[in-house]
Amino acid sequence: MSNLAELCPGQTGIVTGYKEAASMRRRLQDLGFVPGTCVKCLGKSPLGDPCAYLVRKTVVALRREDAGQVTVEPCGSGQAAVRRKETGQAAPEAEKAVQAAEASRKRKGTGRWKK
Amino acid sequence: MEKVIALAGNPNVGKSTVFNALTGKNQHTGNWPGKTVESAQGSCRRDKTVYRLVDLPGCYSLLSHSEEEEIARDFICFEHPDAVLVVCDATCMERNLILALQILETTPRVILAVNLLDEARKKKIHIDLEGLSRELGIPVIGMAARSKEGLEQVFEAVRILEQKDGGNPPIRYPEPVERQVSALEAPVRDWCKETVDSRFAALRLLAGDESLESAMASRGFPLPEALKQQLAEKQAVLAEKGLAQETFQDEVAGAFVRRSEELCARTVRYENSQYARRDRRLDRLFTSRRTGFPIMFLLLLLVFWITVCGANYPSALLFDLFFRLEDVLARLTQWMGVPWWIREPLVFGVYRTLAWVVSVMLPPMAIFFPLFTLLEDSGYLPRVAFNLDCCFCRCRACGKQALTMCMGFGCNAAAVTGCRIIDSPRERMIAILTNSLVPCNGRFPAMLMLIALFLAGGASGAAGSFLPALVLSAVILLGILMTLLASWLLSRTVLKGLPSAFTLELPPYRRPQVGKVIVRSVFDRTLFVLRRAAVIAAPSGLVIWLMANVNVHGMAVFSYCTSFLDPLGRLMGLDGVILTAFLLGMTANEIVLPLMLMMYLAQGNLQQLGDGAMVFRILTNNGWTWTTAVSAILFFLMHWPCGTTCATIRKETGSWRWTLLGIALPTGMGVIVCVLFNAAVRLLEC
Repeated sequence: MSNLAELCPGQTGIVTGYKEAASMRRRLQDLGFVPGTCVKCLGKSPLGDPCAYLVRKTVVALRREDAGQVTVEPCGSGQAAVRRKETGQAAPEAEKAVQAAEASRKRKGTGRWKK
Repeated sequence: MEKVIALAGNPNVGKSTVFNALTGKNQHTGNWPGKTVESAQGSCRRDKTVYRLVDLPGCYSLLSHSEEEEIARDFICFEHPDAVLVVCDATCMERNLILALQILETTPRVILAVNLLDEARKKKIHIDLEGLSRELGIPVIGMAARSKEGLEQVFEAVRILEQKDGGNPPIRYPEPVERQVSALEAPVRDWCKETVDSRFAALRLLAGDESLESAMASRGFPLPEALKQQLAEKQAVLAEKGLAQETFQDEVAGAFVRRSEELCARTVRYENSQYARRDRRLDRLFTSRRTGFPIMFLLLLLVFWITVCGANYPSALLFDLFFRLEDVLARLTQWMGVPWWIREPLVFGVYRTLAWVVSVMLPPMAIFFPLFTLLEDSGYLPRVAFNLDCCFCRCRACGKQALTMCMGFGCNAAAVTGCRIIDSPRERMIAILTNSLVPCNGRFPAMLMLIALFLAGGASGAAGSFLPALVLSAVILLGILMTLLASWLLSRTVLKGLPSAFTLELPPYRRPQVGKVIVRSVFDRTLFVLRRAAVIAAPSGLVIWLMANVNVHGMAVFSYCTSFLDPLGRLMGLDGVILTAFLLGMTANEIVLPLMLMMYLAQGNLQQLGDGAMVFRILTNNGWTWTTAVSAILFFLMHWPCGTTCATIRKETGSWRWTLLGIALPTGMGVIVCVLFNAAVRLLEC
């Protein structure tokens, strides 16, 4: 189980819940971050924080600290693949390759906007 | 007959555009969330009915409790408008319908307006309006408010609503919830009578919504003890079923989201799954590490460059015209035999100040404003906030402060009101107090002129305008740095605290309506400046003339004033006249430079008015050097906010102490920076 802040640019995840003391839970729910929602991390701002997320066809920027309050399952599971088909996201193979690339990038700490 | 229509919807879906198009008013619009912070009202007439329209502030939900959301909720629940027009953005229906469903739960009198259909068509998004209407059981209108498409259908829909009574609740909750709600409905109805929908009230009470409870209490319906008891029982039953307070609230919030998802799956079709590719490309360009900040600076530079280039010619023309007219006016009044004590204050006081304000200040103002509006309409400003958020976060302030800061370029007073988009009171206060550190439309033309005269060597042509634009951009950067510094200082002293949660929507880019924006804002600005010139500049001109010409003990009144301020002025590299002009300019910043010139002229060093380089001659004859100009520019950037802004700060903060701090903070920074600058220059010169 990881959280939203851990998604790399280009990576997709399914919201599973919220951390315990999620002070801004209601606000996040209003924006559409409810369990089962597919969220894609689009990119980081030039200074690395906040991040832009695609959720329910809108783009919302969250700071790392706030994004960390949302737990997600990074895509790859069956349910995710179905949703991805619906929302017209990238194919799983490409996604996996991207994820691998991103994981290595993340280790170098240079994850950025991803095509 | 009068009918009330409330306009509600997510932020930035074009509510204000719909409002303007229906009422013919001119409420400011822009492509960023939170444009409307006060609910505007207007009316229009169709046949025999007068429709009063209320533009509610945009909100994402009725469930969480920011200020705008409570305003919107209270109006919809308690004021019983004849219809609530929920405006949606056709390009992101799924998120927009969440609020529509929540409103539909509070009242059946809802009309759904699917706005921005033109944008949706461009992105090949198809929406089945009839299907949506069937599913929801309310009238649904397709709209493109910018091109006035679908507006008239609103009135037809209001008539349809009248014939419709009640409706099914938009959401069915899980069985245990529904059972408790229907059990509560009857006692709730006894309590709140017809004030609010009983099902809605029962649900909110079950969810432990204290804000509804207090809103009811303030309307004379305190929650009775018996009902409280019953409520606690029902909540206990739900808790047993695994739906304790927290889970129940999550369940309710989730139900709206899932219902909206379901509706969209049935009624919205995306022909092109890559519909947002252009937006994502632009985002990469505007917010990536390599290009984000350079592009921000280049855009700033470009805007100023166009302003300088464009303002040169009309400025010179107006200058020439006005001073020829002054000559004519002086002769005419002399010929008519108007006594000197009327003639001189009128011509050399009132008229001359007016002429300065209009010829020097108006052209750059009228050019900058539409350019800024274009940027605003395109959706670029939220990207600026996105880029700068990290800086503000480190200063423990809110990223949305970047939005209000940008708004300050237009008008500081409007920006101070705009600070309401910031939820946390502490961060809002920081944004309010630091707002005047970016120069408003009334200040930077004067800065631009000083830069062009003293720092850019008086070069002319397009290349010659580039240097002043560059220097001004650098000055603006300094202003932004000072804003950050001031925010940092405030959040470590009087406004201690940690940054609160922050969400910012990055809306889709929209092509601004270039022609309309330019015509409208040039026209509006011109009228605005002319009106201010008449109301403020003209009387100030009279005051200056009187101060210069009324003698007390053989000395002009204003000599007392300027010689009193002179020592402080000298310390800052300025002089008494400049400080006096700044003091008098508190009524309106655009008259500071003209007043300075008036006072120098009144001292009698130069009476002959002629060509455009005259300003330079007037200033240098009175001992200005480049250091004076730099100090004046710095002080223009950082001094007390204008009177209107001060009044707005007082209104927004509700306290004189914060208002005083809002005046003292920029002033103190300006004085310190000027004194340091001059000390450094003197040290280097020795």
